[in-house]
Amino acid sequence: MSCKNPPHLNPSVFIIFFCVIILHMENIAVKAVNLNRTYKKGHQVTEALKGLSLEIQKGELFGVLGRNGAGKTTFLKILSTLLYPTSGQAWVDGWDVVKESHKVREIINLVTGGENSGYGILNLRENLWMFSQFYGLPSREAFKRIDYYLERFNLADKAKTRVSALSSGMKQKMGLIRGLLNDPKVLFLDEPTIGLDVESAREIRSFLKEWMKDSDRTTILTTHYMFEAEELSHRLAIIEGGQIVALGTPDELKSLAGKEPFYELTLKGLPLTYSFNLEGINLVTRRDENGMSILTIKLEEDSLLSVLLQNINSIGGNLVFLKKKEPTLEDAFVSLVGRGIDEAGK
Amino acid sequence: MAVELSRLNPSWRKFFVSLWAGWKITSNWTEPFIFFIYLLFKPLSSVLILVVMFYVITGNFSGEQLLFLYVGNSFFSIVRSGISAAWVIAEDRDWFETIKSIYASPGSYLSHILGRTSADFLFSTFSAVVLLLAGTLILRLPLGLDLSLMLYLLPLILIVTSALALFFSAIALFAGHGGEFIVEGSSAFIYLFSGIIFPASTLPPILKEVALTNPLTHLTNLFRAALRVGPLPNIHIIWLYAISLVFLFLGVFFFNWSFRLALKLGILDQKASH
Amino acid sequence: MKDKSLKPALQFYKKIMLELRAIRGRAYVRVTAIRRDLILLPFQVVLPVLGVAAYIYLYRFLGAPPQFGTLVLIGGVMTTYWLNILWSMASQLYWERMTGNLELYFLMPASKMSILLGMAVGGMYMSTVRALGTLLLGLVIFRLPIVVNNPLMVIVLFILSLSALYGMGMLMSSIFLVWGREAWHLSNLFQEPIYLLSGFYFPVKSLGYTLAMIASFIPVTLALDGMRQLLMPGGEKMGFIPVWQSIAVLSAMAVLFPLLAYYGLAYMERLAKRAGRITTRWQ
Repeated sequence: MSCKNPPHLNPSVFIIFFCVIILHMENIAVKAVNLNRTYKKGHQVTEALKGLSLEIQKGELFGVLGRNGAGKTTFLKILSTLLYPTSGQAWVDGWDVVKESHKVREIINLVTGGENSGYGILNLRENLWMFSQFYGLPSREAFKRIDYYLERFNLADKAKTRVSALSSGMKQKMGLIRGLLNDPKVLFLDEPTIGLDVESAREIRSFLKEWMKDSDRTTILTTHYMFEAEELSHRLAIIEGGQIVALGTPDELKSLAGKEPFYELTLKGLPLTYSFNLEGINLVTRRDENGMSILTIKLEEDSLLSVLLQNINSIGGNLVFLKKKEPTLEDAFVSLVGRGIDEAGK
Repeated sequence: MAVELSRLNPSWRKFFVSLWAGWKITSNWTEPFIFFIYLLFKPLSSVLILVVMFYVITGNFSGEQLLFLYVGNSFFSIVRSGISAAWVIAEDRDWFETIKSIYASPGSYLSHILGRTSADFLFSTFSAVVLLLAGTLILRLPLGLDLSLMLYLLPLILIVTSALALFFSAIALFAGHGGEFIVEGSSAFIYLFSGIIFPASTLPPILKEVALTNPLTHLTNLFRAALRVGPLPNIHIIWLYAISLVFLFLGVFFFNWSFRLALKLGILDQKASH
Repeated sequence: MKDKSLKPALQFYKKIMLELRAIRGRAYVRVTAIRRDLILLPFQVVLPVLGVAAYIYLYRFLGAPPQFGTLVLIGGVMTTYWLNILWSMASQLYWERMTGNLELYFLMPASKMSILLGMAVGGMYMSTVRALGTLLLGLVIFRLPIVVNNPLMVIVLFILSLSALYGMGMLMSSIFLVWGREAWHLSNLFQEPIYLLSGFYFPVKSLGYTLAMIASFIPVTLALDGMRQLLMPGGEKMGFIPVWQSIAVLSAMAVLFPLLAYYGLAYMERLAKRAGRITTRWQ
């Protein structure tokens, strides 16, 4: 069913058509309705997305946070027409990603971290020109854009270097430039800074903020770097087990971690087996290093702090440092998902 | 593997592991499709081309010329395993992307090439036996066997094949995405200058000199003599061993030099795809 | 501004330009490769010519008339294209998947057929350089006899042969994608056995009617048979079917194969998107 051609009779189809009209009125860049995606390998069935629904406004830089295997990349692949959903529908700029994929491709681009695309025999500038040709760019315009971006990402001196001789970081920047060449209305970035050095990652973040100043552009970024998501995203979705568990601005998500106070305690001599069975006191994270234990604790009320300290003293633990802190995005993530973003397994 | 390899010196260990890997990759008996392609279809097809060419001109399937080219081509199917080592580089670098990890493991990369070539050598020898049996049974070619000469000859063929493997894999280090061209181009060179399908003496004067200087020409004739389809060449087998060992030594030198150069240029794992 | 607001003529122009640029972009890689991968030049151009020479000397050894040299020469020229189809067309999409380019091709607005056509154009350029080397050897060094009584027919046959061959290459490319890592074994399978079946170095007629008929499903068989009839002195006597019939069949193949490739690719793309395998390497 086309999002733009009214279909016949079926009431659910009519509702979807109605949604699409509203979608245009509301200036929506991306819309997903009840997306499901399962992978089958032999008898093993994995549900990567479970009824995911979402709307992303034009001009938004939208972050998608989640652990490995949470469904982030599957979501991006469906939106960028590389994968069919098992059920449900999605539109990009009003075009159905399954039925009107050719239209979607004209206005999007996808950049994947660690990308190693192109042909080793060509040099950097030629390789980018080649990709521009697949979007039908006239050569003069293509070279103008390529030279601008090479300069912008400090790669101008590598323009004549063969792709096979570029470092992985340079190749990753090349991948980003490739993704920008067609000036996409909707840009999908899948972990774009993964594995990059600090300076290059900062350079890319700073570029993205600048690039997004054009209000017609929309970017959807998946990452598991909390600070990156917080720094760049206007809004964020936290995905776990193929479902959205939280959606909002970074501040809104942080507040979801609870209004209760957070404390960071640095302790000495705390047994590894120590467990928090005290009412109103929740352990968020524990890190043991150099003989110290660093705990993040959430208390239902401040007065419970003295109870906690007494309890720790009674089992031989000594307080070295105490800090009251505001909840971070990481705290919110742990609070919502039940474990840290880098923790594997269910 | 049942054999305890951990006690061996790293280069021998790498040699045997690569031999085992070559066995697994090239002639996987559990995958009859692959087994038939490499051990039967390809060698049988190449010899049948020659048989049909012979038939088109002579109108029959017998004669000394047929015997000459049939046995020569069977010999070539063994030697070709040396040239195919160019593929090992293409596989390691482009297909399996294992070149760095194989190089970084203890033992020289050269041992790996020799291990893979030895595996190919064994399978190619098997193919040659199948071809010769087919020639005897189907085409009724009058083949014999001088067993002692053949036993002297086989290690000699392995030495020359290993030397060829080192030369061609060294070249493949610098060629991007073109292993098949190296194999095909080099095969053509050997086909022309080694008296494989026609006597080297029938070549024009300058080309004849090239062919007669080529030790492979004498080796081909020795192979024919071992199957009692030609006279013993006018060169002693000891000399052929000496020349072949020098050739192998040059191969080792050329391979090591090329490998160092590839490392120096930083192109060992660079894929120049197009 | 969305395309739907553009006039159809302008939309059509934009689409045509997009596809033409895509063809040029992909072909450029291969045209450049022949200049840059210089170490391969002797292996691609000079040495294979020696293989042709070896077969010419074999015919001389067997006491064949000189025109059999011409027969081998035509086979040598077509070998160039056949190898290019096997190694640089048929297994290419699988290569592209390994390197991550295939995902990008599925992401782009240009048709995958344009990408394949670009590969074919670039491949033809590479192969023609080698084919000219082979021709030069035959005509200048071996002074092989060639007759050109009907140059127009030779050109038509050659163009149709290449169109049908590269069309077949496109089709194989999409089929080979299914085989994954085994693709290059298939390329190996289609090398010597096809040299035999298609009569690269002897008239295909000598294989007998049934085998020659089966072999005619491979365009290179009819291309060789037709060209030998047109260029070899006395070649018409060695022909399997009349040249006009070869031209008719090759014309049909030149249309049919790319069409099948188009549907094959579209089917593969749908399948891959459904199974989620398009972007998974090492399968």
